[in-house]
Amino acid sequence: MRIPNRWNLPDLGLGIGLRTRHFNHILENWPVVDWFEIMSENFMDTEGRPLYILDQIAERYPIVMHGVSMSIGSTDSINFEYLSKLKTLAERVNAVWLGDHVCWTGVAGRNGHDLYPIPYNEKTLGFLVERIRVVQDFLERPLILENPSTYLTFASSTMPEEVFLQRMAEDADCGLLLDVNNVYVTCRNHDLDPYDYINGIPYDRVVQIHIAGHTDKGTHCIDTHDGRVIDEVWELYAEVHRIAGGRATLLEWDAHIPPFEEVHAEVLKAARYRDEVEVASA
Amino acid sequence: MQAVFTHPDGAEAGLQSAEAQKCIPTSIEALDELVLPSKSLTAEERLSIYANMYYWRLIDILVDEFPTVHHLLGPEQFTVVVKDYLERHPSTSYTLNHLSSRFAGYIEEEVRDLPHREFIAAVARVERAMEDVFDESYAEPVTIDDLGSLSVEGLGDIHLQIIPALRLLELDYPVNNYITAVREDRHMDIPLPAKTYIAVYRSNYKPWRVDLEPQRYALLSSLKQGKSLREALESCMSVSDTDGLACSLENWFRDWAADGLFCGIKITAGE
Repeated sequence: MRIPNRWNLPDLGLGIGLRTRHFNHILENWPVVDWFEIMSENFMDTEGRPLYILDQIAERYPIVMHGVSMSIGSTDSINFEYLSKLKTLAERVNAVWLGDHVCWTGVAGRNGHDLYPIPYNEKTLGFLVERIRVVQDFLERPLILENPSTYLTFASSTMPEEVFLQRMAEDADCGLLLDVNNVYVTCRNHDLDPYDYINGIPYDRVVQIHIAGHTDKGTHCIDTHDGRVIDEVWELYAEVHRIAGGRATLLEWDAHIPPFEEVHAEVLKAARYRDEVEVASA
Repeated sequence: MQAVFTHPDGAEAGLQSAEAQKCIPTSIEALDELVLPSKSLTAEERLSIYANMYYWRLIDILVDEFPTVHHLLGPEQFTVVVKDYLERHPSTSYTLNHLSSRFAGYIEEEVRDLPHREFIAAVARVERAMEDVFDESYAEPVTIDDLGSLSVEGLGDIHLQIIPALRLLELDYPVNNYITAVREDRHMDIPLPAKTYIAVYRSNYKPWRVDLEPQRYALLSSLKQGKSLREALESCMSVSDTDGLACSLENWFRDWAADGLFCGIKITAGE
């Protein structure tokens, strides 16, 4: 089955999150990687080495920008200074698309630098949709928003996360980044079936997929990005691929980061799942 | 909710805090009306996941930025100090670059009963300056040849513009060698107080820190303030005797140009 995204944004193949630890390796070897994703905030307020390196990498590889500080779900005013810097960086690196998370990171002028959850109900939906529209108008491009890993359920939520995402994406006309590891973590934490979740996703809105490792604490899972992708997450990834077809896929590895080759080898495993689906389809 | 997630004593204390109660009056007993439990965790335990991650993540960032302060305090005391710092000076920016911008001042002015407090504050100023210059604005440096091409006539009226990525620090302790020792995993006793001058700057995209003689500090400070070369030299000569100064000046300017500390030459005729 093939469900193209409605903006015809490309399937960039298999990418890696650009991390400082790998800068020298990349500059010395120019490895064959389909694309890189950057954490936007790491490059927005610097004119030092990170930006100097990024400029060189952006000349050779497609770059996708993924942020953690837009705080689209916050009740604070939209930070247009932040958006302006984001837009400038996107133009500088010729970002293929840019996104953030369905969350809030702070209120009342303070920032917790975490992806805090929002209740999923009609009131928050309308609030979020309006803010996404304003941001997209300013950025002059669709915003690609990711499902976060969450650790609590609000009593005021009235709909499942995937339904909220589907309605949000439709009403705001934005894109989705489906983090398959976050689906697994969230469903474990909320005693839900991850296959119900991924079957409820509107794939014509999905532009990108994330995969990552997490930490299983027994009673709950934490989205730590500190290791390999577990088999259950790979199986979910294969299922998403069966439903939607090829999507730009990105491996996140942010703690205890191994050498570049090891990270690259991990994301290349995705090719096997993609190929299996291709063969089965044929 | 933020007050609960960021309370230094955890989610329960956060829930009972005045800030949280002002927004959503509740109690631990009634928490289930706001946050549902899972099969494995209570509502409070679920809130605590966020509360624990807040300090864990931000303390980790300050450990990276202040390795020498961390070494001096030890992990336990460092955690106590940073939690108190974050409570008094929570992040108000989307970027983590500013998170520790007040940390040195906090140690200097707000922390009590901390052994070697003044020395630790001096170290923190240098380590924060290294963070600042790492990300500071870029300015294309002028070369030694550019400087050499200036005519001697009217040299005093030129203004040498200093790159933004330079911080000049006047400290009461000689911290530079100590910082190097810690970064190289060598033992060094905490030095006795002594007036010290340090330049922290970025050259070839790397942060550097060097001790300066008082004359060199005075000269560079004056240039950074936008004074003409003549005025800068006067301030330099007022610091100490001028024996051998001409020879030193040539070396200093050559070194500074080689390190890319100048980013412009402006000649203001008639000054």
